[in-house]
Amino acid sequence: MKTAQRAGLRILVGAGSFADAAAGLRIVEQFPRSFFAGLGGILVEEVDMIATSQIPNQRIVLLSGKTALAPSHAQLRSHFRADARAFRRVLVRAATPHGTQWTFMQDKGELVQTALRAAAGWDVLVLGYRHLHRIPGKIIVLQTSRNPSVEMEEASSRLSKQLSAERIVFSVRQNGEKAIGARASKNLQFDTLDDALRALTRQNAQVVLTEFQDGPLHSQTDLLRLLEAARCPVVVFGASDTGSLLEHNTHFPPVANKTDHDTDV
Amino acid sequence: MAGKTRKKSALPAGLSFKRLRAECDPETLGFDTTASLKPARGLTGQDRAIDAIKLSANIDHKDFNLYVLGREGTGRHTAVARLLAEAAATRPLPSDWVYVNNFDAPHKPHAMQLAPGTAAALKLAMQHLVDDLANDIPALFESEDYQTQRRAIEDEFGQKHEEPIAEFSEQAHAQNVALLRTPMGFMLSAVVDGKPIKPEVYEALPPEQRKEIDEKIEKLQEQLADILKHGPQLEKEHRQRIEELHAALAEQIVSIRIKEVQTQFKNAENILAYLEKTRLDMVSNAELFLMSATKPNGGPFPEVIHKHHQDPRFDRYAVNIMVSHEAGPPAAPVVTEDLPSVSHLTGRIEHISEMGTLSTNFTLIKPGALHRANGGYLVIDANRILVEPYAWDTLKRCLQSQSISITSLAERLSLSSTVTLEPDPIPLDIRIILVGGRRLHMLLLHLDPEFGKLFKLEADFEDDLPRTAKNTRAMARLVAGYAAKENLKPLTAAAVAALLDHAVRLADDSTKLTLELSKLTDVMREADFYATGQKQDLISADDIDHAIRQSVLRGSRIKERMQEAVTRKTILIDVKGQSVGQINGLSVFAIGRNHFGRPSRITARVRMGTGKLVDIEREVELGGPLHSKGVLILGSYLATHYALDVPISLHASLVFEQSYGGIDGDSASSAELYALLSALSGVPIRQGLAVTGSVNQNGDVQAIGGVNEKIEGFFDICMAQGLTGEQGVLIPASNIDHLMLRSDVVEAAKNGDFNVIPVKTIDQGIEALTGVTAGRRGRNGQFPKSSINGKVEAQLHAYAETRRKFADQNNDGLDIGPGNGTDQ
Repeated sequence: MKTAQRAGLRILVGAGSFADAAAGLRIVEQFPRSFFAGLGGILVEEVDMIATSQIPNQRIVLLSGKTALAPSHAQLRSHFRADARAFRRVLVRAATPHGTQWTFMQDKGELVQTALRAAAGWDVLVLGYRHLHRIPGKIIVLQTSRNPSVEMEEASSRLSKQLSAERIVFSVRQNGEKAIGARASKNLQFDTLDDALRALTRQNAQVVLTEFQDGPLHSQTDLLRLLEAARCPVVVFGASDTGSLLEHNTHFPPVANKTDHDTDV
Repeated sequence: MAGKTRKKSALPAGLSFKRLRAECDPETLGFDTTASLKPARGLTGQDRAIDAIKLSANIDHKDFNLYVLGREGTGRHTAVARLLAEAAATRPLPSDWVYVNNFDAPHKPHAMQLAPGTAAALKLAMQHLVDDLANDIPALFESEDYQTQRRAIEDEFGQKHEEPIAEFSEQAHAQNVALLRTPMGFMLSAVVDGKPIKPEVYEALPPEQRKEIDEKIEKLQEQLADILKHGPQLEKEHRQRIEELHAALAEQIVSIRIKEVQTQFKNAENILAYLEKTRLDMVSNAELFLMSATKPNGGPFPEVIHKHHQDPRFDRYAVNIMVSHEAGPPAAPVVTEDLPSVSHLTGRIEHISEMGTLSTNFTLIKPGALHRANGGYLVIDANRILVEPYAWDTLKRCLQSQSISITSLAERLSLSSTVTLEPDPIPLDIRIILVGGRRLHMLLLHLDPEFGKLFKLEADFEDDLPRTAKNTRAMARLVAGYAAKENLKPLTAAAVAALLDHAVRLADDSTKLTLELSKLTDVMREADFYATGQKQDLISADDIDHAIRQSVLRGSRIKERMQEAVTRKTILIDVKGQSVGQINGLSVFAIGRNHFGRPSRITARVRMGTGKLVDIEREVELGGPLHSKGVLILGSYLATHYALDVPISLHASLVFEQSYGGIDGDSASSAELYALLSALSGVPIRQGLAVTGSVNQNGDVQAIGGVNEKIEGFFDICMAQGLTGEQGVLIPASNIDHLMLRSDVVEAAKNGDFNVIPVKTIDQGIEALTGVTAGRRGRNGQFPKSSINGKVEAQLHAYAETRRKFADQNNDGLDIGPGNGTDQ
């Protein structure tokens, strides 16, 4: 029995809120139809955030710069329900024009960990992160000095063209590698991931693309640090190949009754 | 009360047959066929109207607009078209007018006056300008130069955003504080063991430590809030810098392209001013041209030849031509508007449906007849403009303000609430020529005080012209010209003569020729058809006669039915014998285009009374005011001619027998008087005679209309019952010149079978009708007793005496009424 060759990649968008998810989906929508064969979404209720909001007199800082009391647990539940509906709606809207199959899930936990666990079987994981401003940023490719995957090359080039944004490659040298020539402005080389993240945190990025397979990331923590440094959506290629990165306390396979599933059939 | 008191005299001789029909002699025309005749172009006998048209066409002062009045078919439209074309050829070519966008207030488009022939060139130049920029600007913005500059700005502002956040992030990290994202915003939390602190852990901390954490968190929250508050300002500055960059880049290429157009129209100051405004607008709206580049072309042609100006987004730079004139020999426009509605006169503002709502812009302004005729002449049918709602009022408003303002009917009636425009009014320099009837002209003068001010001239077309030898020849040439123009067969001289005879008949006057040429040309075309059917090369007199006869025949169904009713005695008309108080009156029926005469029996009955003359037609409201007037006049005649020494003690009644429709006109008043005189005198009237003519208080018989139709109508009745030689018609002597009778009537008169007897007075008429002398008052003031007048007076005296006796018998308390003896 031969397996039919897949027409494109299966992309999962993970986010802790609709605002983050929408930013991720906007990136996905830039890809051509042929690029993806399936679209998924997972909304993760971040337990740390929920717990922190219960601290007395805890406040939040809104995007407008104003501060307000942190929402109650009930308010957060209400927000999550609304975000889930909106996320699902936007996901369907993104998938429908191309006739792409879609899946929407909800889960609880830590965003990166939960999204990675859900990404098993998916080709690409997009972690959403809301834009803090509207000044167009760069397309950052975070890779090792070895040749990146064809898909990531193609995706980053496509995004650069679609978004009229400059594409910059952050290359992290692997152990023992030497610097290659002078540092071009569009191809920055770093000795370590920390150096790369330090540089990245001062870059105005629209999206960061990276890959686990042969990539500079070695753990979930690295991915979390990347997301926090980038402050923009992060596209992770080879996301299904993350078994070795999962924390020892992760339930694998995931507990079925903990995940709400909504699939287009 | 019929009776014969003495031997009657013979019927007086009628008019000679030669006086009954003044035919045109073909020999006098001086040609064999119209083919050898030089066709006449123009009008004959309309000098007065032509002068008025020429004055209106050439005078430069305002309000000398013209009303052309006259009957249908007198050549008004032809004359107006020819004379206006001649005048227009001597006037300069008027300006072109266009509407362009008002960039400051798009709902008030600007009107621009351009030199003749410039409008189309400007429109084309603007289309090319848009097409060029739609290619140039995207190319400019795709250039590496632009991209580098834009990215530099983005980098600069991106860094301004990211640096504080990055520093904040490092600071928070250094202080063991995590930045958490929530659905609403950001939250800061102290980190314990690499994780955000849990509430229970926080609660378990000593107060001092909690306070320390709270203070730290609060400070960082303030920092984060400051950073985020600064964001919108940075974005605004970024936007401004990008706009400045766009404007600077677009300005370069837009100015180059605009300069090319400015060079083309360097002598037109208003165009240069418009181009400068356009330049500024294009620079500030350069993204319009970028958006055009993002649309897929889709067609097989390369993008560079794409007609970008057809894209609605570039309508703001379009040139909407209201009127343009080809540069060439000077000639003012002459426009005829057949449907002079408001929108056809002043133009209209159209709307298009966009997403279910109606919208418009200056490119949807459509010109009207006033725009097209501006600087020249506009010909409008007066009836048509008056029946179009608000069109007359709109035309007057334009003439008064000397400008064309476009206001839709829906807007005037507040029926439309959609978005609309207020275009600049366009100055109006025009001469309006209204073509209409005389009655309408009179009504306009009386009822519309503005009409006389705005239409100072009138061209009154004659209905006929004198039948002189010169005019006859001129008419013959007109006929020849029409035959040539309409590609009809040439007419023989006899055919032209027959046609001119018809023209005389149509004029209702043997000394006139009608100028209702359309009626003659209708006959010519029909005759041409018959001639073609007979395979003739020429139209003969027989063809003309046949066409006329057929025309009469087609409309004579009702006439024949009426004659049949008389023949079968359904309608009682005697054409033989004598009768007292009974006479044949004559009237004309007009049914559609056909007029024909028919006799009516009029009877009079008398008895003693109080001087009352009852007009039965008036009593039952079948008589019109003119008829009533005639009856009152004859009553006055009786009262002032007879028995002047006694009160009129007569009760008389007059009626049109078997008349069931309305009667008007006074042409039967003499007949009614004859009937009364017969009834009073007891002398019978010859029933073979019919009478027409009105009468005045002096007993003079006056001219009437339709004399030919009336005579022929009675002739047809007599003919149907057999001509006796004692039959005929009494007509007013003043109508002799109007006689143009049918050939068969003339032939009967020639043979002595039918008589047309002219009379000047009632006395002449009653003598002819009764064969008894009317009688004049002698030296003793008395009429001869045997005369008609003597008998009438004797009868009136007898009535008065009887009445006096009756009053005497009853004067002991019998009240016979206030009108006793004095009621006139």
